[in-house]
Amino acid sequence: MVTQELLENLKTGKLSCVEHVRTQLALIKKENPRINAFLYVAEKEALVRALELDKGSRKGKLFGLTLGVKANINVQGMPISCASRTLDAYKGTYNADVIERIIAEGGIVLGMTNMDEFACGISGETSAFGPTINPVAPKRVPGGSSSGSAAAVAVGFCDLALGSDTGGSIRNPASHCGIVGMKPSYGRVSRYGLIDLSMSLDQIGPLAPDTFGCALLFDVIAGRSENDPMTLSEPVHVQQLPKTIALSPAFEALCTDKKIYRLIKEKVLAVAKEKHLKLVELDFRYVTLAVQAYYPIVYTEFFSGTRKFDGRRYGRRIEEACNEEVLRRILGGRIISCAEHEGRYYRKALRAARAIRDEFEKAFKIVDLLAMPTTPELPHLLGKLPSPEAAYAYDAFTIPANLAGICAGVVPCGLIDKVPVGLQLYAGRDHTLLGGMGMFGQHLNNTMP
Amino acid sequence: MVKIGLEIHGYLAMNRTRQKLFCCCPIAADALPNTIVCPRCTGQPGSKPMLPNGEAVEKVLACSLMLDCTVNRKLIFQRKHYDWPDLPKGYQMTISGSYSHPVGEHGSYLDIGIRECHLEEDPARWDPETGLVDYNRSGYPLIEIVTEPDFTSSEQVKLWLESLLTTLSYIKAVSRNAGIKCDVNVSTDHHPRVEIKNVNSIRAIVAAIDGEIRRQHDAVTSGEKVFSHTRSPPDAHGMTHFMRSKETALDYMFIPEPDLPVLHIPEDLLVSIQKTLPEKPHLKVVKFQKMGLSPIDARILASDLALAELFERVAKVINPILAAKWLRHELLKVVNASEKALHELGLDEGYIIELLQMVEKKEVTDQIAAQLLLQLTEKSFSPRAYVARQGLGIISKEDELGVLAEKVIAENQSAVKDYLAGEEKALNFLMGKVMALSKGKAKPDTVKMLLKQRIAHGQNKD
Repeated sequence: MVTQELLENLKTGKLSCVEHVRTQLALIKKENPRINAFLYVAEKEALVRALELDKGSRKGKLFGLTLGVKANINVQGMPISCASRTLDAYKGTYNADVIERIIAEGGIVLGMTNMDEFACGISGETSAFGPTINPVAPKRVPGGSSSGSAAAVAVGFCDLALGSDTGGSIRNPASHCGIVGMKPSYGRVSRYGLIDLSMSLDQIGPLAPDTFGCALLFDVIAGRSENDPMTLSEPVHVQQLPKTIALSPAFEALCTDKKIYRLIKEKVLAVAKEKHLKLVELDFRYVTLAVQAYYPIVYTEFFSGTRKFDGRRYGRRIEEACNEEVLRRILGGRIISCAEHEGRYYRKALRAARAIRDEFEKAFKIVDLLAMPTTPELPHLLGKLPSPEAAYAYDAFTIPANLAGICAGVVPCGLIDKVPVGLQLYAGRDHTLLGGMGMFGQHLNNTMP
Repeated sequence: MVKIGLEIHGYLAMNRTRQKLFCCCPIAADALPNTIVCPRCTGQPGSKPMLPNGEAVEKVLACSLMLDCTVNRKLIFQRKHYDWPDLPKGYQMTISGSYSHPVGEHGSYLDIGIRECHLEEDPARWDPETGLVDYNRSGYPLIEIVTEPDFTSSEQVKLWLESLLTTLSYIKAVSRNAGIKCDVNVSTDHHPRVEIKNVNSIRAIVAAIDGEIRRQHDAVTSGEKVFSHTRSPPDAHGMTHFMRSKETALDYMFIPEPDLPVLHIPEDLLVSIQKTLPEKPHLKVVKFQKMGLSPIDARILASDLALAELFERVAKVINPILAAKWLRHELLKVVNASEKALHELGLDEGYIIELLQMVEKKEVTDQIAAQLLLQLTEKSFSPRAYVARQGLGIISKEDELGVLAEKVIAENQSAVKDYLAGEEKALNFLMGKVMALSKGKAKPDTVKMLLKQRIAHGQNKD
């Protein structure tokens, strides 16, 4: 309800845009040195924009709301660093499609948010500009890679934020910071302006304190754009209420921390009862292949996408400036892409992704929603980065949605050991997903303190 | 035995859209460096290609069909990776490469097999001297045509390439003056093939082939082994140099372009392109020769589609040989003087036919007709009406011309004497005088007859 009320106050003029921006800038000034959510605060730009908006007709779906933008999405004139020293000499030369849409609806870009370097991480710790702190559970990592966007929304630096999600990078930090986050279906939101991690999996999506804000931002950024030929041409629909929800033993088995699964199951049962959802059980055969299929695709596409960072234009050559995990992916991608392997691994991985997609397509003919945890464990303690293998396995619940190209969203569903836990929903359609997230949001609002 | 194969790269002529392949930047050869660029063709971080220019796709399809290729209706762009200053993204988008589905394949043109026809984007222009990179050219649509190694001599390559360019210019796919770039593969006496990169004119291609045949021959006679490798483009002295061996061949690490969907070419688009394809130039040459034209006339008339088609329509109405003479000589003279292409002149075909009909029926003299043809390129009018109005019709009345002939004879007695002394040229001089007096309207045969008659008559009187 927070976002809705705020939007009304801004639209009616009860709260001026300038006042609103000033309050948040003051909070950022005070708290960002500790949280490290923003890499660049567009103080002057935001105030000028707020002033202009206050003089105008107070219209637009996002009128006066402020946004944090992940540092891999182009905003003209701002440093788009991907939290890497590689892009030291780069400032956005153009606006991403999503930024154009946000500006057209009266949104205010407040700055660029921290992230795992080149979005290659799960914890928010691998930024070249230092880790982001989880404002809700400060000893734990905030999750990643959209760490700054999630933390900024959680602490109230900005009203809404944009993240990107290739294997869980919106949902994972949303879960760990106790906010709402959504990865739209592949092609639902234009990627024009998003710096590549893995082009066939990347998707820009909203992070918000509540399901209203999430749906609102999704509605603004979604839709066909000729700038991204992979965007879907079907129109964006209004929210639709789901009628059935599934749990799956295949996913239950992947959950290492049983307390998490118990909490998820408990909430699903409660909401199903309250909202009269039919509860079913579904099994999945191929989801265990997801992590194995995911990395060859990411490595190969990331290698290709980073060839432009050759040191000739934007700063330093990526191989010379990046962290270990980024380098691992580039070198791995180079080997996989070699002619001697004849594209075997990449193609095989794409085939596995197709099998997973087919399986979900079948499932969503039967049910509207599938519920599961967001991560198999609670976020690790800051500074205790797990091994690459363990870190990769951490994405087991989020990766399948990217491979299948379907949408998934996270809503907060409670605390375990004072650490937020997000409940994840998968759906065949974005509007069904948003309907379902709304149901859970309402329920949790009414039951949580 | 020599075997030669070509990889031909040419700029597609974008007459309709005048835009690059994956963005809306205009194509303009004379723009200042880096003035026709956008985030896409400069490869800015986060930029994505747009769907490929439909005109470019249609042109490559038309070329494939012209070269009798089997067309693949599924187009999959690939990323070809290499590290070079002219390549803003670190890869080139192309339909070629390993696992590719060529736009056209298994074709043939004038007895040379066509292995593949492709579409790809041009990199930027990099000047190694100054380090300047000009992205204006980045993203221009290129066609790549790969032949089988079916050529056996440089002369054959030359004639074939000239003919190929004419054919591609027929469908306005490649401008004849835009130039081509070739990678040339040469293999002699079953030795492994040697590739010469980036040879950029037909003359240079011929020289490169001849040079390479000689080089391989010399190598063998001095006891060396010919091994498979790539050589640099000919330098200022026409010499090529070793670039890389097969072992160090570049690995382009092809992957299908994840930012573009697979494009499906609708059957009806192919059918409609097929319908618009003109007859091939060499078939026109054969046809024209059958109509009685000399080989050279036939070839010149077939060298330009607009000219060939004009000839075909004119020759339906008047004698083909007369039509060929007029179109090949007089019309081309006028066209060349105008410094425009024939199709740009906007000639009214009906009036050309009308004029040539008058020539055929000897209603005007050639001299007058040539003047009228020139005027027709400047404005449109009916030659028949104009001739009638201006009284430019041919004068063949013997009494009228007789007066002129006698006047000329009286005034040019020394020429008459020369003629009588056996100098035929003197008669031409006298004829010219009569023609001038008639303002070009006198019927030449009659004038000649009258002059001879009157001179002989004068002789008898003496």
